[in-house]
Amino acid sequence: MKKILLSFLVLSVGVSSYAQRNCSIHLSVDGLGVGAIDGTKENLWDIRQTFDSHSSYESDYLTSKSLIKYLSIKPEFRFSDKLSLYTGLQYTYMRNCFLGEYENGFFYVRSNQNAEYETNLFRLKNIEETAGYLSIPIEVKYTPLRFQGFNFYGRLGLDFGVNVHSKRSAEFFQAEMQQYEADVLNIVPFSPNKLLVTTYVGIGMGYKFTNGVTLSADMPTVKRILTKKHSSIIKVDFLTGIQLSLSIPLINKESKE
Amino acid sequence: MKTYIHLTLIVILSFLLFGCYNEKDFELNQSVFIEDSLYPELPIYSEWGYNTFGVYIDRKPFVSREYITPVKVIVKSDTLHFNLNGTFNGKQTSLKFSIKGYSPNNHDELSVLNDVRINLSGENVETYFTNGDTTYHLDILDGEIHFKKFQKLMVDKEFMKSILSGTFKFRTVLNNEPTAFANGRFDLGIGYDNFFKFNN
Repeated sequence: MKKILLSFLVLSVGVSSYAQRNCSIHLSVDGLGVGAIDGTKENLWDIRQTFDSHSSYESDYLTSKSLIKYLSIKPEFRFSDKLSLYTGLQYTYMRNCFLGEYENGFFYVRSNQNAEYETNLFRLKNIEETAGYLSIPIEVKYTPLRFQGFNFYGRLGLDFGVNVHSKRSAEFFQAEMQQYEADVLNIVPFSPNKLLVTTYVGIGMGYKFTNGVTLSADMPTVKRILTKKHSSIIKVDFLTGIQLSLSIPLINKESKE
Repeated sequence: MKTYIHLTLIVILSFLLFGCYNEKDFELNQSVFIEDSLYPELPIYSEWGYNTFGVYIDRKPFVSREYITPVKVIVKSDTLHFNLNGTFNGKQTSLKFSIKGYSPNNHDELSVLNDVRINLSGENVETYFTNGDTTYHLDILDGEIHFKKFQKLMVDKEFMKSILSGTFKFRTVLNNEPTAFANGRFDLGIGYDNFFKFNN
């Protein structure tokens, strides 16, 4: 894995150096528009079940939710009509939470600090974890077809990031209990992984305006998170969605489109 | 006018306090029946106070139901009566273990049962089985009840109720037929509404 990553990095640096002398450069801004997450609930928290497997309508007062958004600014080194290389900076935001639902709006978490014969439950509205990562993406885009201003492409990429901020919080159902927030968070001591590595593929189409600006959408983009332990609540494996991109020409060395 | 305002405030506060108490209590009084994948139609063994119990009576399930109080603990003199109430073969059914030598004054004193195994064929235990309108005093051939864990359930640092969890099994003769009560388990919340102490 390390050899592959190193080779990719060296190749990209070499290619981008070549690209700066021999091709046009655009500035691309990408962001995730709409996405769906595929993941599994972690079993680190001791949460009292509320559903009854014998009832007609399964009711679960606990929901786990995950949100991932990203925004990147990437210089695009366009070698030819068909081939482009991207690199730059990307900010990824992750938010995972447990939420109490329905009329009750709370759930019970069992403490691990119990005296003899005692079990302590905390009644919570939510447990939330957020983390932000700053990454360097390295991406190759191939555009086999251009027609009347439209272009159709596929892209493949890898990004490497580091954690720049993280936060955990627990909200009690009764406000006067909020002083025990640290006791709840200490039930599962957790820090998100300092590194974030993802790979992604996308196919999409774009439209180039007369001023050279191109608007594109990857439908879909599929991102696989290779690193683990970003949250004690949910393990996110895949992110699938629609990525929107805006590309602005900076230096144009192409003789024709 | 002031009196009416004060009365209104008192009524509102009472509702709020009573409502808050009922909210916590209501949720913890619910039965959470999670089926055991290894023993179909029986609840899993748990120690959460899920207010469930279950046992196979010759492979047919006798289990707790949402609409019936699953357990009542009644202490009379020096005997503790542990009543499990549920349904068997579509009829309301109860299983009662009357255990001499235990007389807690309150449900939090049920800690005396923590990790206690009781031989059901012993002289200090009587077992009764009621199915529909018929009650049987069971002659136990062999078997035991194991009160595996007692817990005082605190919610937000406030004592709410006691939890008794455990297992049981025994063999007996029921209606002139040798019968096995097997894979029995219980996880029950015991508090103000299902613990009774009689001094006589």
